[in-house]
Amino acid sequence: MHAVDGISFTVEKGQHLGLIGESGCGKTTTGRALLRVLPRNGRVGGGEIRFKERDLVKLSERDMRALRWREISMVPQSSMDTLDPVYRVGDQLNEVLTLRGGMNKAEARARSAELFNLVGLARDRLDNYPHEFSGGMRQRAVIAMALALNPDLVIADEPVTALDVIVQHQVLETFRDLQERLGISVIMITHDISVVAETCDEIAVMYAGKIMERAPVRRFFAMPFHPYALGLQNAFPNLARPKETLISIEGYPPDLVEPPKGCRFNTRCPFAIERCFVEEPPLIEVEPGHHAACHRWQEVEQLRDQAKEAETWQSVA
Amino acid sequence: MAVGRVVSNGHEPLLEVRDLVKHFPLKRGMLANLAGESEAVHAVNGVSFSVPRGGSIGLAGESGCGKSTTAKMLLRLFEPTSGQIIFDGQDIVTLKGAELKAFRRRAQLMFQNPYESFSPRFTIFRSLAEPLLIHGVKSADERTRRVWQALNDVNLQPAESFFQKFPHQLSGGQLQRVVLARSLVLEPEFLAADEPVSMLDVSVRAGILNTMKEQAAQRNLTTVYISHDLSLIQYLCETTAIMYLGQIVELGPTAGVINEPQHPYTKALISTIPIPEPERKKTTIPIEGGVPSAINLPSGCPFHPRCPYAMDICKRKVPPPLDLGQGRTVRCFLYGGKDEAEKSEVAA
Repeated sequence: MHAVDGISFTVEKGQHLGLIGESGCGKTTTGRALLRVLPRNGRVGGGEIRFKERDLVKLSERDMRALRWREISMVPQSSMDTLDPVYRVGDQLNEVLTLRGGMNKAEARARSAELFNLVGLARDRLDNYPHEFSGGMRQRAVIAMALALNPDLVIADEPVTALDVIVQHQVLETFRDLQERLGISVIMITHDISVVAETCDEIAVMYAGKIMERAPVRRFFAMPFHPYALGLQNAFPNLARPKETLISIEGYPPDLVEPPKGCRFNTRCPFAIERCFVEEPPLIEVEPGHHAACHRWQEVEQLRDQAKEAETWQSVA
Repeated sequence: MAVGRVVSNGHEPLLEVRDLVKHFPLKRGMLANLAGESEAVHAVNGVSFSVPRGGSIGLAGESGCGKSTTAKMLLRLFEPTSGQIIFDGQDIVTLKGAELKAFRRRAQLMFQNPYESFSPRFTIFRSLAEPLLIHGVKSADERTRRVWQALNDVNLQPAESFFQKFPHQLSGGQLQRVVLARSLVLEPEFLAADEPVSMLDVSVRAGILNTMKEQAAQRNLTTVYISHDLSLIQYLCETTAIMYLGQIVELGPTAGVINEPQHPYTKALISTIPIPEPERKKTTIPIEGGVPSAINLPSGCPFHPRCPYAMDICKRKVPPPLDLGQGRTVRCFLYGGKDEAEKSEVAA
């Protein structure tokens, strides 16, 4: 099965990229592939991952080990639960710093305190066990761990899912702050487009293992091109501008063991024409810096209006 | 107490909750018990509201604010520590036996996680027919008819094609529709839904919400929605109640509460909700720290330790619900009641 199938994107230094899509679209697999920490039955079947002049796909496992944590780190999914319950949070942080960062104990203690400060946790909390932390605090502790060795890139997989909005806001603020102060690049994997709207510079929309649209965040929200993106935007409630009816993208994503011919969104797309069932649309530049994979992108203005109507989407079911 | 009454078309409320309290006692050692100390989680501390027949209210707040506990008490899944729940003129807190069973037919709860809501060994038909059997629908034809109707109503069509399916054969969205169908199959008058779509992908959420809205309108259902997501409540509910540490701190028509929040907590909560508009300039009201423990509740107003406007009185007295007019109430001394509270202190 090709969970991720021929996707390309770039992240500039200091840039935040939001990788969005629904469950099973390959966004987590993409994040894990970048660090080569795929599950046992998974492998990178082809392609290149260029990171600071090197191709990570070709790197030896030894070099890869040296690179993890130090240059690229990860805040894994449901990372609130990734702390070991029987060790103090500070000790877990120290372990990264001494084993991976080669620091001695005193240096590690000092750095831990600094990191806690960075993510807005009090330093005396280093001696606590994970169960003494709230969900948001644990999340921030894991972020602190990911930042421990000053990486250039942090891959954050659903870092705020399952957090309450106020805490979510605090964690997102932490990420924004890191970008401003340390110039860290972030790949933020999420299903929530409003999180991307608030924290990212670039967005890539994944569907069934492919990138359907990639754009600067502002352009994406002002002028979406792909029908799936049009659907998502009209499906998403907006507290500031309540919608009369929210649209629903009927159906579900295709089986990736046998992906459909043509465009992978064709089974749920209200605008699919014959061509969409035979020929796969390439990701093309529809305006400077803005890419979309849709045969009908030139008609998008008309499609945008139709996509706002719930009936348009019901016709597919 | 007429606090928080939602009046719509002058109808009598179907559901009226008065001063509902739920404390969960904590298990302690024998010595502490002998010493007479008792500790408890104060999950719900005096919640009052009412919903007219056919009306809808949303209970919103962060985890641990008591919203789910409140919902479970409404369905008598938890026994309240004190307070009254008047359903169609009858206090359901004291119901027993046949009367309780009759109430349970009229009031249903829709659970959060569709994947955990069904026996994996039951076909969809069996899961839906079971409540009918329990509530004495003896004719097999009648049961089949009603299961078919419920599935059809939630847009699982053709309904008969789902009868012999097992839960694992359905997608999350379809399964949540079955959850809804099961809660409608007894034709209840009242439905409480606890985070009905939080487990589902955004692309299919709207479909379920639209079906719920449609069915509630068609059946004149009275609904209580529990969610941390205010945009969902905005979409579904006429009235919104904001909860914090077991109290309703603000209540009123949804548009008013969301567009012109009054309570400092509501203001902060709403200002931190992300908006899918990158161009929009937002001013967020930061509040410090986390929600305090519900075991040792703060004295006075539960929000005072985090409130940027806290006054002296807030540390000592719980603000009473204040009527702001237009169906809105708020529990905050910034809007009044301060002098009375101080006088009562002097008198005491």
